[in-house]
Amino acid sequence: MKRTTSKITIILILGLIAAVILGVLLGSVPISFHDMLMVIGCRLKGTDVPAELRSTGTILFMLRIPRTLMMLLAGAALGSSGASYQGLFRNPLADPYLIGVSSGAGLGAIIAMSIPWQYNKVSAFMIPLFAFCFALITVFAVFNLGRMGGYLNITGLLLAGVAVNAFASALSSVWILFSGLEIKRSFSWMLGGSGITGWDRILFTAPLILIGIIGQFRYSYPLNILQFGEDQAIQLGIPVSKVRIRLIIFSTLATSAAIACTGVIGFVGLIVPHLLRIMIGSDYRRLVSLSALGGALMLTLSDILARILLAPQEIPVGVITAVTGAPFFLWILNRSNQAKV
Amino acid sequence: MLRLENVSLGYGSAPDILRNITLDVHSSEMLALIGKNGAGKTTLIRGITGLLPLRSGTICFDGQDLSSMDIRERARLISVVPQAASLPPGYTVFETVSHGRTPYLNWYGKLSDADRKIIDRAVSITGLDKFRNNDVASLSGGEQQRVILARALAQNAPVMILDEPTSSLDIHYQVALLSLEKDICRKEGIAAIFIIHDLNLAARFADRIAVIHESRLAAVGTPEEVLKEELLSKVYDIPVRVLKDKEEGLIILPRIPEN
Repeated sequence: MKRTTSKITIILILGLIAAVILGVLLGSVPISFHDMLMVIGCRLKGTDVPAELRSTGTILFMLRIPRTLMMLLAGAALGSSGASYQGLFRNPLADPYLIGVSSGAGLGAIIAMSIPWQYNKVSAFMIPLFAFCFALITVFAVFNLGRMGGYLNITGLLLAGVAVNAFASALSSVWILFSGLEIKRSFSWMLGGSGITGWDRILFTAPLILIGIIGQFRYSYPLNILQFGEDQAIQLGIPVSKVRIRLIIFSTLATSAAIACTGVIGFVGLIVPHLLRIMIGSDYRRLVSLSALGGALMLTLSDILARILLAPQEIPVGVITAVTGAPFFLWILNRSNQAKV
Repeated sequence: MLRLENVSLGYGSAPDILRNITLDVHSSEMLALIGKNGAGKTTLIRGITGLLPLRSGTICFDGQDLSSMDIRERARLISVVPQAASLPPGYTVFETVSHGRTPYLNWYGKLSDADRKIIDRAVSITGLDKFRNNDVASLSGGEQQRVILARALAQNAPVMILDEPTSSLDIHYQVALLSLEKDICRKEGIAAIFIIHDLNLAARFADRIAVIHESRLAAVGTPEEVLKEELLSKVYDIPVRVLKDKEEGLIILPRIPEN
């Protein structure tokens, strides 16, 4: 198992490096590897970029690099959070959608988009901020509704998650219809189609995502013990309620920060941990960290496809993750079922 | 070693399920808990392991009140083999048994060489060597039950509680598991409390038997002292015969009323 884990870690890291380079080079305006190295070299040395490469420099530093980095971070957040939610709910179908994080964040972002903020530096952060606050409210609503008879029950949490999810999605649709929002833009955002430009959003959300991922990794071992059920976890010395609440907070922080920047993207948190579990087993210490790498790789590659498939038009990246992810997921499910027969 | 004094337990605002239970459990001893379904045996175990707060009374280990201990300290003293536990797939036998070391490990669950030796020994004692690197999901019910027993052994706790450990096993594995447990108790000095419905197995393997009836401890003593026709007939609400066989010891038979 250890050897397989090492191999997969190396493959994921190499794949991610390649994907990041491709993500920076490919797009409606292709950039050569040589030009990219020239521009980055000039930036690092502090010298002026040659005149013929100035527009390339702008594309690289204002569009491609921030966008690729954002996709990498968002993928890592969605992948690791998917693994954590699956462990928390002891359900391989659990992902950030299940407990309403995604739809809660989406509702917050849609509301923020509809408010005519006076332009200033703070207003750029309002969408992520609203998304994060609404995701947290949603999670705590699910968390409290899921308490049946004062006892935190997994079935109760799942049912509450489904109900709150449907409620938040319906509110988002109503808000889009009646708030005068530009429907195409909002709809595109709901499918993970936010155009990321510049560094403002990344600088705001990257620390939140990193704190979320590190926090999940910190509690990845207790997550292993939680797989035996609450009673056995307590009998093995795990403070179950404390661990569960902290994991929910860290996973929600990472997911909502990611969704606030990239729009609502599905499937990454479901498919990546599931595939990795088949390959490396269920140890969450490996699964959470490798799901972060795998999620980063999947979303970076999906973003490249979103940009080049119908260039110069862009497809929302959430559509790519769903269209490529769903058949692949079904194929894997079918394959593992056949292996069991 | 473990002393329960005037322990009362119940759920929510409902009346007590158990009242004023006083019981001592000694090292190297196997104590069977018997009683009708719903008598409160599992409730007592939930109280001892800290899953259910006591309404009154105390539970002490070597004079130290368990309620004053944190969850990790308690897990170092009491290990539990739950009833027909289903093991989460995706973990090897070694990994699953290693989870018994949780109360001693750091946040990352890093195993020291000493931890690995303890785990290897638990795997070996329970006869799981050849399955060491197998996924637990590929094992039979009896083998999985042994994995859980090995996990409890790796917990290195002086008290082990077994909640109907034989309920999902055939007679071969029932005898094998209880023989193994008895052997472990003797050699490791562990005190074992086990809930069991098969009175013949209780008579065969328990050093003492505690009978729970109508929310109270109805009797405690050696199998010969406790397994009396009158008491068992009252507790189980059915006529019971207790026979004495020179080779097999006590044999308990329910008498089925003729129509």
